[in-house]
Amino acid sequence: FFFFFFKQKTAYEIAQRLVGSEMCIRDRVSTQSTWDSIFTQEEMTTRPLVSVFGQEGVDTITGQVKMPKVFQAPIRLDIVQFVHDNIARNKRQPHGVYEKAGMQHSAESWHTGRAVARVPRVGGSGTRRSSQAAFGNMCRKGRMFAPLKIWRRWHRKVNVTQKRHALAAAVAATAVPALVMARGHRIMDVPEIPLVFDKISAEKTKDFIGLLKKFGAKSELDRCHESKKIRATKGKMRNRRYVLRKGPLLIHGDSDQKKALTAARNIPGLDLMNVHRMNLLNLAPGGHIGRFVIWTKEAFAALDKVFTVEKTGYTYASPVMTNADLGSIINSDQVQKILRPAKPNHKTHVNQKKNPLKNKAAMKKLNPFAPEIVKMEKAAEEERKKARATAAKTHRGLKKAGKKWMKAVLAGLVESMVPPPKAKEIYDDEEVKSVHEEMSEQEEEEKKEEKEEGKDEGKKEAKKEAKKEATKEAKKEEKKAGKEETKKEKKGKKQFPFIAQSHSYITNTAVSYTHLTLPTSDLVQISVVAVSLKKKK
Amino acid sequence: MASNALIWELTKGYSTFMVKKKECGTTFSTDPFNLTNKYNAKSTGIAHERALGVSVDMKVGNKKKGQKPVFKILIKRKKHILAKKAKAPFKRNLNTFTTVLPLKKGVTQAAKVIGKMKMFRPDLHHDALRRIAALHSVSLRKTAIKKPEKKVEEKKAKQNPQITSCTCLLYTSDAADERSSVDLGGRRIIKKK
Repeated sequence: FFFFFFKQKTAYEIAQRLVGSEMCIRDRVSTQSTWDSIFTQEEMTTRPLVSVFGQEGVDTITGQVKMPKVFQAPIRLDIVQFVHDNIARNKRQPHGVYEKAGMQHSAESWHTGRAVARVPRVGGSGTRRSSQAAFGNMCRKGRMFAPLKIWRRWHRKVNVTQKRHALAAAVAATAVPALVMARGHRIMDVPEIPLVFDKISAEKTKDFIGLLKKFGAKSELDRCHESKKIRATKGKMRNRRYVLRKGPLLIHGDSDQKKALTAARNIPGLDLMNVHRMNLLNLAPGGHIGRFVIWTKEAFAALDKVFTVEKTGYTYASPVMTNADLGSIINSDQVQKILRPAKPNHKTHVNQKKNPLKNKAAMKKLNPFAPEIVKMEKAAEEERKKARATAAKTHRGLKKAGKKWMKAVLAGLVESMVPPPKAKEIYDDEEVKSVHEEMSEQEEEEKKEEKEEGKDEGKKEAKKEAKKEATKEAKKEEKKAGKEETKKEKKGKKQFPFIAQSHSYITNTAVSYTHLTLPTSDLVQISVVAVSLKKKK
Repeated sequence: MASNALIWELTKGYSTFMVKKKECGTTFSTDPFNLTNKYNAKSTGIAHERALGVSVDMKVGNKKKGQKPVFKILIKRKKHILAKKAKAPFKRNLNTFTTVLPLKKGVTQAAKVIGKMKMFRPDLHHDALRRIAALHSVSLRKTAIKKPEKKVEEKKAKQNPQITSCTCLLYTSDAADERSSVDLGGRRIIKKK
């Protein structure tokens, strides 16, 4: 068996490189060992064929190209970010502050003894500026701290090989749809990535846009088009007025250059790049790998040459792991055969401390009675809830009954009153009358609602008033003066005047109100009314 | 090609799908293929060969029926189904392989489809079903919202007039007490020459 030949290894160690005795040929297993298959398998699939699309649509595949080796370059995000960081500085233009700014005074310090700070002050007189502080960064109109100089080190040099590695990584990343999606491009409808066209035949922008839309780039183009906004910062007044999202990058060869330019340069978000002059700032804008790239066949085919011939002496970086697919490595037969069998019933985190306040089992360990307490609490809460519910129910019932009773009383009173045939006009209140007149017949329901509310309010106030009036009447007999008083009290309130006036009527009605027990304060008033009225009998 | 492990390593630091909020401890994901909307290696959709995505669109139906939820299932495969249809010798190497299943019949159909696809991603089967249930309850809430609710609320407001507490904002401004300029205080001492 082959595991004779090497010691046990973890899955991670296996994939990296051959070490020690394994490098010796004699210690290696036969060339067609199953170990190799892990590596060669990936090799075979890593250079697939890429379809070249024609101009008509997704179905027109005019040919196939073998994927250039660049796309196997290790995707080293760290290198890309470092290189991008530094290269981005190279486009900067020097700026600085006027060297004399804030220093064009003959200011001198007044020194001590003048009850002022020792900062230099502007000399002279006759102007507000005199005796004001000057020169310091803390002073108004003073020079800034460390005035910006133009001889700052604006540009950065990056090693050529590093730049090339970064470029290769960025190109490789454009072929990974997950990364392109993660960068934010809308490529769900794009048939294939990398997207390669045989050539650019469109000469007009709208034709080219039509072509892109056929290939599923509509949402991407829309995204860029809609994102155009005026810059939020000062750049808007420094010739950088608009900001746009970055859209597709069209990489062309020399022969396509002219057409590509005329057709594609005006599309918002779309950038152009010649394959022989590729720029990391376009391939990984913002240091973020995975731009959506559209290739022409010429450019795609030229990639191999670009990275080997044109970039003289360049060799691709070797990956840290040739096969980075951890899943397949760990689950491969070779690895699984070596591993010891899994421990049965292996429990992890057995001795982990559990918080008894959050974990019920942990609490039970400490206090065995704890679950009981919780149960009891729950039961008590349930009982409290029930009690509240029943109390509320009875209260509601009584309230309803009370209202009903009041209604009956008033109805009885109304009936016993002689003149008004219209029940509405019992209200003497002018406010209510006008309101009634204003409302149209369509809103009768709302009228009724308002009336009811009015009644409710009126009832409460009426009860209060009735109490007062009842006590008054206990002293006085039926007097027209009493009527006048009540009329005065009526002003601005919705009342039932007939309670005061027509107490004699009350005696005629057969309303028994002694048995009701309303728990509200209204009860007191009503009972007072009832008592007093009863007395009148 | 980049393996899933590598893709996760590259995107775990930053991607357009990542949503970080200071208030919440966890990082969320807006990845369409993410079933739990959490940003971690297990749930991530783009960094997996096979992934499922479930989403709901509220489509406006009749006025009577109101909004109708349309479930959509996204399937990300290793290889595109249409590759079979491609004519030899041109076989596609397609990396963007998403099929979209819009389901007309609603929740039950969606649940059935997911049920059949259990072995597609057995580790996320439970999450897929959970997601459907969650989306369903959301869509129910949305369909339940009708216009007459406003009137009911108005009625309730009328019946229960509440005493709104008016909070007057009182503020002290110490700065207002200070004047723009400060007195010298003492005597002016003329500079002796």
